[in-house]
Amino acid sequence: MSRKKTFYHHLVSTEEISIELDKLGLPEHERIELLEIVENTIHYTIIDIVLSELKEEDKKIFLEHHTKSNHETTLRYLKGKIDDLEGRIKESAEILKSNFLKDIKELKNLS
Amino acid sequence: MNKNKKIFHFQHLKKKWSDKHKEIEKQIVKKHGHLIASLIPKQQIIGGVLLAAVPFMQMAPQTVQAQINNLSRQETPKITPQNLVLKISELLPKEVRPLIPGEEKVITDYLSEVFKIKVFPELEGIRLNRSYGLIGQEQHLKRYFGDSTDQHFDNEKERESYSLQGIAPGLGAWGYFAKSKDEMTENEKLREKYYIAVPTFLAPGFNENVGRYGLFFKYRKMLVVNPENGKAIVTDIADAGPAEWTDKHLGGSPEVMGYLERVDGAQKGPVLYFFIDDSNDTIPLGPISL
Repeated sequence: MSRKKTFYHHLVSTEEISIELDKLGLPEHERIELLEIVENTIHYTIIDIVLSELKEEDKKIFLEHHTKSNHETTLRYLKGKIDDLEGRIKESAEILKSNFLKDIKELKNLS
Repeated sequence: MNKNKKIFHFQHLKKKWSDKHKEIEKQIVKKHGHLIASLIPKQQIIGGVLLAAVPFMQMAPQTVQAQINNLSRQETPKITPQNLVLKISELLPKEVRPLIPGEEKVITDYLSEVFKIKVFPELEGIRLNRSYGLIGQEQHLKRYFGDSTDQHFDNEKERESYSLQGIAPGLGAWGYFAKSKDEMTENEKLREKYYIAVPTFLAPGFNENVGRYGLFFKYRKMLVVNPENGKAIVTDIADAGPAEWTDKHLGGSPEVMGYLERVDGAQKGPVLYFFIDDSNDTIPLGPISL
């Protein structure tokens, strides 16, 4: 599955989830559908973190950079505004990922 | 694994994860949905870029989503570096010389439109001696007392690419960028990384207004464009120079020159350089895409 590039693309990987889904033996299109839900959920969470940390005027600037898909500019801009941005993104994504992996594990135990 | 079990797995995860996704979506729209709506008029003005906002379109409220879809139908074709090179070549004179006001006007209008940043040959009544000229290589500048090539780079790749140019023995026009290594901010670091040197002393009216001009030029942002490959970068003025006898009209930091693919010496080439009105300091320094 080719992920859309984002400003946090280099910080978050859903590879582990993809591997675990693969082990369930799901057809490719179903695996991709589930991975899309995972990636969108992570995306929303990260956007929420960013918007919650920025001042009102900075939010608009961020959204403008973001909608231009200028990922390097967006990341640089955010790093100047939010302390330990990359660490926080990684941490939040890891928590979400561990919950998704837990769901898969529970499902395996059920069957 | 039998087929029924696989179907159960898929349905179970899909429902659970979709519910989680919807909940987060609801929260984010509730907290920040107004921001997306507020962007619409501006996007309409600059046109065409909204399609790139795919991840955001999914979180837009239905009404906003409908507006976005309508806007996307009005999309203008994306400008490529090749388009830009071709267009600029039509607007520029054949020889590298100071542009006349009419030429500056059409070129700045075009660059402002394609880069979505307003650029000007003159700002607050101040202009440089020219806005189209040959760029030469500068050395790195000391960012704080004690800065050296050992400490100047963030990673090995940068060191390999840009350490050969060395650090200038003197300071930039406004001294050190930061009080110390520990106190240096990301912004101060970027000011040195993406600096240019322009002959502020040749600006019309400089001698009569040294103080005012000094304040104006200090870290003033400029868009620098290589008209031969379409690459552009947001820079800041951090030094004065080069001298007139060098046959160069401005200088760029090693990183600026590297990005623009410009070299010094016999093969030195021209760039366009215009002021950016960024009094709120919202435009980041560094390479900028079309």
